Amino acid sequence: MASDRTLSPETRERTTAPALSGGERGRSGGRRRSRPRAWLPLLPVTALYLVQFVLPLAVVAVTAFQTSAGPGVITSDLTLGNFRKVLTDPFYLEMLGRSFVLALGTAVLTVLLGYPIAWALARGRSWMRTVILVVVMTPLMTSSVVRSFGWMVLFDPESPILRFFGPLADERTGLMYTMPGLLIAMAHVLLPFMVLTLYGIIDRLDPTLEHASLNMGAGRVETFLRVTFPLTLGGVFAGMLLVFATAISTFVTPKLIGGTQYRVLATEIYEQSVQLLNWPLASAMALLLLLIAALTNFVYASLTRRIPGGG
Amino acid sequence: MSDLEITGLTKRYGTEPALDDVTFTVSDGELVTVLGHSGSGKTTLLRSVAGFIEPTSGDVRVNGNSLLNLPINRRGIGIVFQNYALFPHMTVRQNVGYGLRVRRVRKDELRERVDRELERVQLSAYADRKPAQLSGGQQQRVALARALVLEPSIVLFDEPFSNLDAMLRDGLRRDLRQLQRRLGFTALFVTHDQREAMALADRVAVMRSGRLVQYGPPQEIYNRPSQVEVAALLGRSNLLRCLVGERDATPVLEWRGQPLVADDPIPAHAGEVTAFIRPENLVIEPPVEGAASRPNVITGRVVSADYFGSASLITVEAGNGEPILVEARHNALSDQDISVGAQVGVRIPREAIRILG
Repeated sequence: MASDRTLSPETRERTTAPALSGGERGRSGGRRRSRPRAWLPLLPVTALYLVQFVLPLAVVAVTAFQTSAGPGVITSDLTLGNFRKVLTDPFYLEMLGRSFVLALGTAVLTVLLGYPIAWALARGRSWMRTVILVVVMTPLMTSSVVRSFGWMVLFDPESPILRFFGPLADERTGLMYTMPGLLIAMAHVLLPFMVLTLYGIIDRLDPTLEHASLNMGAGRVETFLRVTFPLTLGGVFAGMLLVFATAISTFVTPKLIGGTQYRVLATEIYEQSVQLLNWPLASAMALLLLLIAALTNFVYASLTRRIPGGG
Repeated sequence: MSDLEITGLTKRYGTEPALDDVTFTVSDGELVTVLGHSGSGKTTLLRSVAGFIEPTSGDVRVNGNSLLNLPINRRGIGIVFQNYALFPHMTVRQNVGYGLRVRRVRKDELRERVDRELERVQLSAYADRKPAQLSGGQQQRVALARALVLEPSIVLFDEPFSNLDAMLRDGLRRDLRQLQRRLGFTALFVTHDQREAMALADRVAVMRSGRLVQYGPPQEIYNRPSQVEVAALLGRSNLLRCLVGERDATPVLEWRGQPLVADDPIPAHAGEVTAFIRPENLVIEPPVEGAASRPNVITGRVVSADYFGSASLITVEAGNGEPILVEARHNALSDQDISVGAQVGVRIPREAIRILG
């Protein structure tokens, strides 16, 4: 056996040294100097935040537990009735489920559409990258009202693009007021978030890893499945959570494309608070939405910390 | 039996050639190092052989069969990458077994071959670790094992030791050379480190500006460089611009008024040539009166002396104001005064002078 060993003892000896010093470095790197006055410049924004966000939120939180006695009238009897209604009434449960399906569907759709785009953005020639970047970023600078109106025109039953979506469309309304139409419009609105998240991850992926895989005999598809995709999985999750959290609280697109058929959390909150003036119920739904967003955020944070390439 | 034959290989980016008509053959079982600065085309050469770059023209053949029409994943050439390119999401074992898994090798055979390879590079104890948990030297060995487990007949090395410290590098270099001899694979090893290039190689291919400027055994490359740039690439040297004169119908050299006699043939009507002398071939002597006119003996003043233990590197300013580098081994210096400022004689043995065009 000994004759088969090819490493001389001195080599073996030395290879252990860097590992030790690495640990040493890690410890000293963790030390941080405290900066006692670092919070001072944050004072104005903190004050603004308190008045603008924390205070109204506290009002919402309290209102959620109060009772509505007709439109615009609140009695201060504390109750869990608003939450019970949202979480047990079939009408609201369906609406919640629809919000989830829409947000999740949008997240999945943006991954499918966004991955190839992000790939081309990270690995394409420079002129191609510029074109893609402009195409992807422009929607971000356009109001979502305008973008949704655009889709309303395209989703008309007379619209030429409906030929491609034939079986998905409704005879009378085309893709308007349908789930597929809503998904397409939502995916378009939120695609930039997915593309930019994935781009960050793919761009940081060392292309020699893929070269190594090809060199060892794997084909392009196998290389993608065994190396590229697993190493960008963190980005896929991060992007999906980001899109999910945004999609579930989106208001404009569901309102315009979904109409009254496709009520979701955000549109329902709007309806209850602005039109029906049932503020306690609206507040309860708003808190629920906040909870979902917070949970998504929490998962996002813990995932990006653990998955390779996702940080 | 795997000869690697590179003929007329050219790669142009726009009009700029990164690789310019490179032709050489690596014989079966031979280890050839490709030496050059960054931008010399050595990496382009390696990547063209591997298939990551499609050459503009020329051919790469293994045993007479062109590789160029084969896709990357069917070339059967192993590579050890400069940054190792280990898959960070896989363990050491999974990394080494990757190529076998892709080839759908049976599970028990895969395990056996991976174990044997890990044993060979002394990493059996680290099989279940992730690459990030290993030191640089260990990662380098995983990369080597991953290439060798597929039993390639040709292995390419892309500066695999450049990220390691010098001491570790020496050991790994010896290990690699031993392993290569024993397994008998043909190897092309790219490096910018001239010590590494010479210590490893059967033959060295020196590249410059995309061209192959010299190809031969290390001794030949070191002692008989084909041009000034090759000489400069392989360690310290004295490159003395000399006028070619004539005395008694034979050409003679004159270095700033100092006559030099060389064994190397001098081209008769060259006008000016460069005399190339390695510093270790020069001899420090006590100064001699009136030496200026004597051929091959220079008198000068020591302007710097760097002590390296086994030897000293001494810069002598000759009478004509030009510096000359001498590497003197210490047993040869015994009781000479070579402190800075001392007057010394430097003898240039006539057989130590090479004439470069």
